Amino acid sequence: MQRQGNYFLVFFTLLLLSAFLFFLGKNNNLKTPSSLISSFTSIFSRPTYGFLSWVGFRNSEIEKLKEDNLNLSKKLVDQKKLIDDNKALNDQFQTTSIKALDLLPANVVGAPRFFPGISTPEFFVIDVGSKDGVRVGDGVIFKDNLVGRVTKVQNFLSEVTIINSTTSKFTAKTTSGVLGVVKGQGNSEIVLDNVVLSDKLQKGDLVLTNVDFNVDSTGLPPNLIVGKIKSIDRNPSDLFQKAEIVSFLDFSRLTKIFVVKGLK
Amino acid sequence: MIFFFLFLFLLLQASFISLPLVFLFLIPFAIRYKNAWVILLAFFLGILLDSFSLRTLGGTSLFLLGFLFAVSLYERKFEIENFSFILVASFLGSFFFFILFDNSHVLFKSFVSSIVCLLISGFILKPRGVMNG
Repeated sequence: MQRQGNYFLVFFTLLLLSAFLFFLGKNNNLKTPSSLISSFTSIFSRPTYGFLSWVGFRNSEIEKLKEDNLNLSKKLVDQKKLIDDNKALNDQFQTTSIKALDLLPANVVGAPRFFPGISTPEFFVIDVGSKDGVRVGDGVIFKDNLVGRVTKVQNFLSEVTIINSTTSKFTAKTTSGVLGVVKGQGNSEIVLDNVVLSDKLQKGDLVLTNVDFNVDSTGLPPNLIVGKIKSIDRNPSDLFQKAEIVSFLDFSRLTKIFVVKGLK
Repeated sequence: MIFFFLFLFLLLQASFISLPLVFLFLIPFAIRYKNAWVILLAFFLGILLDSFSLRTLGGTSLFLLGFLFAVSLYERKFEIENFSFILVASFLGSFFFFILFDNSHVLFKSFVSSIVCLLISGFILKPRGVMNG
């Protein structure tokens, strides 16, 4: 009986403590202790995630082809960007300096809500935080391909919402200049929606970020690659047409990504 | 050995797999060791999981403690040291866990979780001979 009493005493004490911590956390009063614990736990989760990604996705030939594909698509967009920039700058300012991105490298230390083989990650936890200058809204890229956007920041860790997440939404354009809204559908599905019927979408066109950059350098810089148009859904009776996009990145394999801190 | 696996499951759940491995481990653990320190362990593991996943501290602890409390209440009236209970408890627990913390493939993941829990229970409870069907 005594033992039973102790059991419930410990239980209720800890339950109240948890509720108290939860309440404090919800009101942002636990930022520092939470950051300290997170920085400690990331020491273990980073190598675990890196090791499991490496073990789970080794297939040299396919990997090499994917890598080549990624590099080529990056070069294609770089070239187009260079031509456009050169043309615009030469025409108007008689100068050739082009602004590059100021990037902060980050390691993926976790991918919550990820089920290997069944789903793709929709969120990453990365090992940089507000102490490194990361802010909510910062874009996250890998080889000029858009990975997502920072949605939560602690002192030493941040959460990135990947573009395939159902909560991800931003404006974009295709290489032929068609404007639309990119929406994540979950499980690696992404669509370009809200494209007016009069615009012509083409299968294989690259989808790039549009102007979504703020004065404080948060947001998505223009001309980052979102993906390639895989199929088009156009119904004349609808108000808008949409297209399915496939990203060049395999989000489940990413271990190192870059946070866009601004333009150099 | 048990604590090594618990730590391994904690790392796996926090960094790579969305199954609630720690929760699945705690069910047979709580059945085998009906002590206050299991509750303490659940509390600290919940805090660690929250910090790993950048969730609000205390949320997972509340869930784990609440579930273990429900198990202890159920134990007063019914037999819990059997496969049927573990299967149903892990399925329901995982289901609510996914509803609260991860809203994707809820039913499928709950089903897989209950199978995983049975396997873990086999390792934790069988050597002691507490499983009876």
